[in-house]
Amino acid sequence: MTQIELFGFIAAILTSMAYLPQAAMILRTGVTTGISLAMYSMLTSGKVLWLSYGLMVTSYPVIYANAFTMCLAGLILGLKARNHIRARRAAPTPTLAGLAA
Amino acid sequence: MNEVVLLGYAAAILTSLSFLPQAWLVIRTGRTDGISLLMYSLFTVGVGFWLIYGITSKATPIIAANAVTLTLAFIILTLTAKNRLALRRKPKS
Repeated sequence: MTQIELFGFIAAILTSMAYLPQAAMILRTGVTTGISLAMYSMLTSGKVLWLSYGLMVTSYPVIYANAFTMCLAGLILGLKARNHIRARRAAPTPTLAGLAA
Repeated sequence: MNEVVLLGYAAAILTSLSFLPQAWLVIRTGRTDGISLLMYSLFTVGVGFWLIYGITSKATPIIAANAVTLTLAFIILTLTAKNRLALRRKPKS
């Protein structure tokens, strides 16, 4: 393994593992209020593109990191989306008075 | 620009800009509950390594993506850390 690849793998391990505590935290607490739905929508689709890029340039750090994070980001997105939909269904239809309150 | 580089840039734009709404949400509301401090600590260091990897392997999409992401992740990390520290100093009564 070259030094360049080593940097890539350290980077891949760190940025991939980083999603584990976030996913675990949401699975445990079910709280997703501070999580941005827009972020995880973009992130998950971006990971799909990174994976394609990694496969095309045959960069193993890029392939492994993005395949793994694609799954975790997808999981976080799914849980956030579920809470978001539930909250919308539970909340009464917003009125002007309600918005002002 | 060939197709592969273009794909890399599309990927870079999406994953880097994805941190923008999260950073904006945190800056605007000041709310960081639900955000994992451990995630952003590991992530920020990891993105730093991606930047080094991109520079040493001369992969421009990787350099561009990680320079932007590093800045945004660092903002989220700092604000989350600040909130957690404040919460520790003032425990719930």
